Amino acid sequence: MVFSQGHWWWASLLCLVWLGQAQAGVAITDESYNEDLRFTQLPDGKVLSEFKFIRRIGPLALAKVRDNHYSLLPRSVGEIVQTFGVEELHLTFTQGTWNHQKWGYSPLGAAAGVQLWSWFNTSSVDKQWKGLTHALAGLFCASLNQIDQSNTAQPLLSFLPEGDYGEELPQDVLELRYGSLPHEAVCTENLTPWTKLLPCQTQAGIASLFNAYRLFDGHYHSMGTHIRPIITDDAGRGMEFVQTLSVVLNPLRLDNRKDWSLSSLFERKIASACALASDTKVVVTVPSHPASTLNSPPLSVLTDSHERLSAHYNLDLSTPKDTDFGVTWEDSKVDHGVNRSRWYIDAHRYQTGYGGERGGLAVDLRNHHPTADLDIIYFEAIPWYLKLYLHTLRAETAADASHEIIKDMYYQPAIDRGRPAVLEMKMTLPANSTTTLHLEFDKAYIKYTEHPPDANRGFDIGAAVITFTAIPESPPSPHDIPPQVRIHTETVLVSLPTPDFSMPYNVITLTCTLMALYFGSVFNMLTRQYQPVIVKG
Amino acid sequence: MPSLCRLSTRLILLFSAALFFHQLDSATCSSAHADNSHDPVLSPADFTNSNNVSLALWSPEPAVNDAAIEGFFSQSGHTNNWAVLVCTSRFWFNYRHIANTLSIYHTVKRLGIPDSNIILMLSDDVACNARNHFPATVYNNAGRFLDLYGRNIEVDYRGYEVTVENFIRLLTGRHDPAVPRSKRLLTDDRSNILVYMTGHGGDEFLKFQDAEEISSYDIADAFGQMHEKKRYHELFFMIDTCQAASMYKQIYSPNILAAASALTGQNSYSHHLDPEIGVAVIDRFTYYNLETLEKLKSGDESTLSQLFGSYNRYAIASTPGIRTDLYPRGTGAALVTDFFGGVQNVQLTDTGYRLSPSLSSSPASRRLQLSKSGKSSPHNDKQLEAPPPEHRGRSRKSTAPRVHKDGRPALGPFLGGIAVFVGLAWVGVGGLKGKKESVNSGNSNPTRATGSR
Repeated sequence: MVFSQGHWWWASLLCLVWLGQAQAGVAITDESYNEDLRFTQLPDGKVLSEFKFIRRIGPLALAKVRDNHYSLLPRSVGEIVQTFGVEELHLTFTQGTWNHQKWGYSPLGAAAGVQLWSWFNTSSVDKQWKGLTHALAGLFCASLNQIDQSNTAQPLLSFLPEGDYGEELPQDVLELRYGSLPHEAVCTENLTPWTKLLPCQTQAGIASLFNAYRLFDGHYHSMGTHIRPIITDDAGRGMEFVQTLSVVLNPLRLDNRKDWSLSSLFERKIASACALASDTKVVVTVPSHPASTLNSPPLSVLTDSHERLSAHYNLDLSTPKDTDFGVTWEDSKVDHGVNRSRWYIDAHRYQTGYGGERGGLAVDLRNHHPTADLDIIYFEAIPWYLKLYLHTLRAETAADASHEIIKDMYYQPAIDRGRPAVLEMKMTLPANSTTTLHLEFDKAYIKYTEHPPDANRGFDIGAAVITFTAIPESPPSPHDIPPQVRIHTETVLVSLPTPDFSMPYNVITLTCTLMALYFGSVFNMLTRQYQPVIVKG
Repeated sequence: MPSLCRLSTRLILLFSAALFFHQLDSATCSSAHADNSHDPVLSPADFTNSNNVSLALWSPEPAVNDAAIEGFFSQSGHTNNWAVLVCTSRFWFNYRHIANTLSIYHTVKRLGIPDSNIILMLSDDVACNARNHFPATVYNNAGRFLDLYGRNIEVDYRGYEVTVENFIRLLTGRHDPAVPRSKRLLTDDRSNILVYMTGHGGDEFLKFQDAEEISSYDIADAFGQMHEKKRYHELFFMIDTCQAASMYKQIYSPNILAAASALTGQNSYSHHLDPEIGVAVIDRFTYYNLETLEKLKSGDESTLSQLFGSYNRYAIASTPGIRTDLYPRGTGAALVTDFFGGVQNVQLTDTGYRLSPSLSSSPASRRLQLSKSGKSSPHNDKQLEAPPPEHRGRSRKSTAPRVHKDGRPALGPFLGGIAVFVGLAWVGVGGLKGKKESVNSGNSNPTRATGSR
């Protein structure tokens, strides 16, 4: 096709360039977008990849958002935040259980399935919460709308606001809602809409590594969406929108060697830096021995106190295309041992008892610290169909506990089909000991329509959350362990007494047979005339 | 009372006039519809600089505009396509049902129906199932040529959400207000809908997740309600299950075509097994449909009778059932892409669309100014909110091509508004007059009887 009016195109091109500059101008002053990618090779050879996409929206841009003018913040997200009065939102989609004992703590660690908690600054929070779960269900192709009142909790201590609220005391004004779906599948249909929120989608930047075939073939993967308020320099309230993805992949599965590169892990390379990102950082962290070689020369290499090397890279538009990172090892030996020198607390939850009538939950909370007693907050939301007996709650420890283990407790009894039982406890774990919590429950005999289609599979009970605020001997680099750590226990699968679903049909058949027999014989008797038959003969 | 009579007479007259204009309007539509191979009638003076369709689409003349839209977006009277694809089976061994559904999903997406117009219901997650040897994939062939899950998939209802209730709610549009748009079937009377279902069924029922059933009466009534609510233009109901033909037996609403994998009393069979996945990967009926569908390109002219003609009951191992008695257009005239493809017609123009002074001072823009300045009459406000009732039946919603909707001068409603306004004024004056003249016109009106009834 020949364009007769060439100058039109030039004009529009110029116009576009000018618009682009205007946009960039806004981005520099008030909005920013950064990408951050960290690879950590764990002692057992697995590679943890943590992707972070950070958007900081300043007060000016946020004011424009209120007028429905969006630039860096995706409109779908902005509308949800505005419509439902969301101040803070944390949503994670996770498959697999984070192995605290071997892998340590990760800020991106999350409970299996879907976990959603949100702080609202609005009246009629329950209505907004319902709207929020439905809207997010539509946005992320998940069954989030199944988080209803019966599995929504309001913890007091475990999920404090993480945003920067300035002088305000947010908890007086804000309200929290927490819900989880432990059995929610996470797959490509969740990743697709999530990556569509990224400024460069998967075309450029670190997101070009997203290969669903590899991400969902890992030992653990978690996809997070976090919104929180921030205070920017010009003293206005802004918003931070962070998307995170962490995945644990195992290079040893391929050829039994610890060596890895992006192309071996993801079958992809980083196509190029995302042009919208002002800063793209890549950090590769590996144990400092045995000796290893980095596949590409880093900007700088740092050694931390835990005998780890961190190689830092920066990506920008001048970086050659198809960048690959990786590590080659001289010795492929891996260490499957458990490191107790840094990660003192771990937890393990399991079911006790037998039979279909009652059961129990037990949690082993271990403090591996040799000398210090550690404070934790334990949170659990148990669905109403497990009827807890609080008087059976007891904490046992092998250590000589001269003081009480449970310092403070908040317990909200469940309401059938209305709300879950919420148990939140401040505890002190004695040094170098295992504390076991026991709790007994009756299993409810629920209506037969309340069973899921795969009733005999059982019901998933969401992970318990253990929060600890301070850790003695905090490591020197503040990034390694955040000030507040949250670890999650396993989910528990409880089978409830399952009715015989074909029973109604049996009843109908049996009743019909009886009716037929009764009716037939009565009808027969009523209509038949009995009279002597005289046989002549 | 007589004044009331007179009032009603005048109202009737007014409406019949409106109806007449409307029929005139639709007559031009159908004439354009008949010879849609040519460019539609072009606009008068304002559009002399160009003779192409896209400008006619923008024409302020309702007749030209209607005609252009009729030929431009579709040839069978629909302006948008929707697909409802349902897999009702849970559990890993029903992998093939998910593969069936995703195969159709892949086809309709390839032929141009966007994700926003596809409602995909999958009862289980086989792609990321721990049993799946190939994570995040679903294949419909042991050769594993094509990953149906791909990189870009949006599942609207999944897992426990795939229930009979949700399915009926989706069809009839009765949702909780909180339900997001992506989970709604936002169709109108210009929508062609493909409803594809697969799962385990029997005589006049289809099981949902091994826990509940939908009966053929439920489906028929849901379609009936959709017809009453003007939620479809034509509907193609395709079902792959045992005794599938029993499922369309009870349907009674017009413009519904149905195809089923097996007659009542017959089983429907799977096609083949992938030894590495370990289960059957596709059903026969869907497999042989795909043989045809996979070869189509968007804009293909194959008809549905050609598709139905390709069914071989020996290969399928059951006799496919086809119901056409509710479908007056005939399968020979209906294209496969009328249901499996999206209406997507984009015409590029090398001449710009210039706002000429005559257009910018057109009544439509004046109306906008009026309404903005707040001086508009209440009638005009009403016009802004909703089209007049006689136009509602012809609401045009395009799916893919977004021709600047705001920019289109909407002259029709405006003229209608003026007509209604003038008419009401006339009626009002007549009413007043009637009151004044009153009384002796005692002859009762035939319409009065109906009015008072």
